[in-house]
Amino acid sequence: MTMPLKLNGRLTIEDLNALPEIPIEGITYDQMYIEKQPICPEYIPPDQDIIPSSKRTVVIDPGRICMPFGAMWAAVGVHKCIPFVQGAQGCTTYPRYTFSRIFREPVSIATASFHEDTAVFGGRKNFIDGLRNLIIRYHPEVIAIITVCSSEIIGDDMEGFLEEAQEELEEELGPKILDEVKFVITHTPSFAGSHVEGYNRAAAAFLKTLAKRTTPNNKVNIIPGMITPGDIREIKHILKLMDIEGTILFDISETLDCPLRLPQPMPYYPKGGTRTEDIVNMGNSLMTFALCPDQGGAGAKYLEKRFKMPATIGPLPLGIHSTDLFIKSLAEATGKPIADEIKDERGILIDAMADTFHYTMGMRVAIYGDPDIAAAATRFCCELGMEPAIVGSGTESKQFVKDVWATAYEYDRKPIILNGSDMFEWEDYLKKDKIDLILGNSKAANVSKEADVPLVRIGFPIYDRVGYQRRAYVGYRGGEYLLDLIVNTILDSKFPDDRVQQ
Amino acid sequence: MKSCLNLCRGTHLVRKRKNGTNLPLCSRPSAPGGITQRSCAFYGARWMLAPLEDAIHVVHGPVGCASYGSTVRGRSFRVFSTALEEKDIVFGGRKRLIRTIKEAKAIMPHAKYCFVYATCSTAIIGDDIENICKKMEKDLGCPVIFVNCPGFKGDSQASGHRVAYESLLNRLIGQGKRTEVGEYDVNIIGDYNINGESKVLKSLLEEMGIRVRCIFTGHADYEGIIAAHTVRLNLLICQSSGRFLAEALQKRYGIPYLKVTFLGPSQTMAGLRKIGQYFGLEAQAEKVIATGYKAIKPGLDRFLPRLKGKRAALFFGAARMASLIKALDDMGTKVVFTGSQFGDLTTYKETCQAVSPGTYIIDDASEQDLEHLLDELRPDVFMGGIKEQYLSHKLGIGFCPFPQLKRAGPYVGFQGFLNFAGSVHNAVYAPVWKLARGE
Repeated sequence: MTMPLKLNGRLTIEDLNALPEIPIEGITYDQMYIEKQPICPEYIPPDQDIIPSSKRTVVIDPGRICMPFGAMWAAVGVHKCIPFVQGAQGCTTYPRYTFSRIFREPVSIATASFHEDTAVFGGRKNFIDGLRNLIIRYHPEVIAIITVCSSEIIGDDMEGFLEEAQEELEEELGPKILDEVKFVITHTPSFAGSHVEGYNRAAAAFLKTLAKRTTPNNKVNIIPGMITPGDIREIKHILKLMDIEGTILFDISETLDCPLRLPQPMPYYPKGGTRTEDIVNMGNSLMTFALCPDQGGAGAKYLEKRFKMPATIGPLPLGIHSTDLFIKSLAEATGKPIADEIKDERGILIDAMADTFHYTMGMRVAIYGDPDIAAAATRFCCELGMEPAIVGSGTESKQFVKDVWATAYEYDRKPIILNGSDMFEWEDYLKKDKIDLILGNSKAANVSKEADVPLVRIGFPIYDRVGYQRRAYVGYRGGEYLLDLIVNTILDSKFPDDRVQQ
Repeated sequence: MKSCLNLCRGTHLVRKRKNGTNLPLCSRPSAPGGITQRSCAFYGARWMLAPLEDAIHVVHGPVGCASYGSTVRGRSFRVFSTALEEKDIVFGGRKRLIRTIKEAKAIMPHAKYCFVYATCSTAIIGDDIENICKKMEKDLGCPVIFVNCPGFKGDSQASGHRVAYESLLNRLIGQGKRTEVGEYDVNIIGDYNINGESKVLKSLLEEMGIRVRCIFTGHADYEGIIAAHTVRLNLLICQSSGRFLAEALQKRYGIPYLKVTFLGPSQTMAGLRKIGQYFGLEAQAEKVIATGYKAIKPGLDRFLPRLKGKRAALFFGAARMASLIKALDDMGTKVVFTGSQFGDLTTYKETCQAVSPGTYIIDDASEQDLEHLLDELRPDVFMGGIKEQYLSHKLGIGFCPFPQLKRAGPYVGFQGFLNFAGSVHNAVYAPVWKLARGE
């Protein structure tokens, strides 16, 4: 009996049911064609003219969030630092909610509690009272003052207010208070950029306010960007193997991934985070590495300009090539040899890649994320022999386009690059193309289900799975983990269970 | 109680006396510099209106508000954002908004109505959104509703709840007609279908022969909302956010409302009896109660002895406070402190009546207040939102999150009480707490 074959040789459910018996060679998942019910019965595919984000003003399913969030992320990575948000209550509660969802940790962020009167009269009174209340109740070491859309539009003069507040604090609590508490102002109006820019600005603001040059030392500065606590641990591990002392600015590894040990000291403060004195000392280091060009690059550039400190900006050490670059420049900057253990780690990753290239070669992937992560993931995919078909970033970035083109040129690929686009456009390209795998954050989960393409979670934010914040993607060991994730996901979805045994 | 807490919170924190009521100060703007658990009016409006999925939701403001506002109660909803940029802030966002609404309609042509939310930025730069909406209404031929919810409006998200209901009341309710109106038609106000609650309530009432026409806003659609004035009775469940709508419907259309709650068997029974009495369906109500209670009896016998005498603490929005305390009473669990982010005088009065003497009641607690209260009173289980969850875990106290996990199922009705008891039981008896203490 000859079966009526559907487009590209696939069998529908009816065809499958009509089969007298399953052929000896089996039916691979690939041949099956399971028609999905659309979510909404009245769904009409949108006009093709409206899909490119350059042709419309509306933004749907944005891949970015607001600028203050990036600054808060940075400030949370400083020891005993509380971000003080000069804005309405929602501007702290939404980010706290987002932090809780991603990291499953309590995060303290204070608010200036803007109400109608503040919108009319300005935020001066709220700011001065707020700082006082915050200091009395929480005794922070650093207060990261973060502005939002509303305070920027009203035109709150934060520097002026801060001077005034400091005078009042000195009067009330004695002059010692100004040594005990440091203030850092970051201007982050959300209409001028995304969380990526917020982190960038916070890095520059912290260094501008705190870093000093006294006696040079042999340390290196590392500004990691918005990567996970696990990633930061991996970077510390690399530094330890290389016997290099380093300061990681915005070290969230022990503030957003803390142990539960009873009894907790009260008030509860995470014990980790970059110390203030280390930030002050960052002016004395040998060199600065900003791992993500768009997230933290401004900090490295500031140190370069101010203290003539050489800066290496990007790429994120993810995969073989970028990690090689990172380790080489670490060795060159400090004069330390590359440790044998690191060479072994590299060897293990290479071995893993050799063992699995059968699965990964030629797979077409769609990538979406923050610009630095998306660019790094594109390179790693190319290293695995995969074919990046669509690469999208939520935030617009020139560096991202440059990096992706460089990779594509090197590996002779021709990806569609969506720079600063939303997920709506990316989704449409993905559905029109034949894609085998998605590399993206949790926001791509729905798309992945709808288009029936498996998803490997990477980047920010991941809130629908546990434990991703503890895992590293950077370095050779991180590459190993990501490789395993990718291959296992392919095995799960592209191969029948009885065809994966060795 | 620690002195520093009393010093800072003043009379926002009270302890119930044996005789007489003492209520905490409430409905005040929170002091700046605190780590507040409250949120903004935009959050409140999204919380109310997000489940209306047959509508276009346009957030007029920078992209951040839209990305936060697309997640409500742990679920993603599609929102359209105007994603204002610097030049729009300077020159006004009018053109951008008009184009966005048109494009949103082109992408979602089946939508029957459209909400446009204001945010802090657009309210301060003074975009005349209301007029733009009126103009767009003519162009699109469907209601375009302005939700005036800039983040700084009011004290907390409660003002957003109110704005959302106001916009529904003023622009949609009463616009439509129903061809057939039943004798036993009701609306439910203040159920948000967090985890299938709407289905449970509907089936409970349908067993009694009562038809639910519209559930604000957990299970509402355009047709239901515009004809919401054609029912016989409104059932008010969330007493803080929904009371406004229930009272307005009574005033405008003369529809009476009944305050009912379906948390815990005693309140479910009382609620069903009340409704039965109103419609003259007492016998049917008793029948539903009997079958419902019989079904969960074995489960209760299993769970309740293990929960008896446990100490619970609550920190919520406002709605569920009093009713949840009564549900916990059914469970035999004692409440040691309870608080809310935006409760008003009525909520606290009800709460004060429900709790036993010696219980602390706190209004607008900051993170530190909760930390001190938890550390001092060490309850066996703490209930609240996701922001409080991980603080509680860090202190080694079991937590029961609201909105609950999908796995836990709905908490209302008879079976729901069993689900709830199961969740509390899991939070109290999770082996991890023993291990954490090193026992």
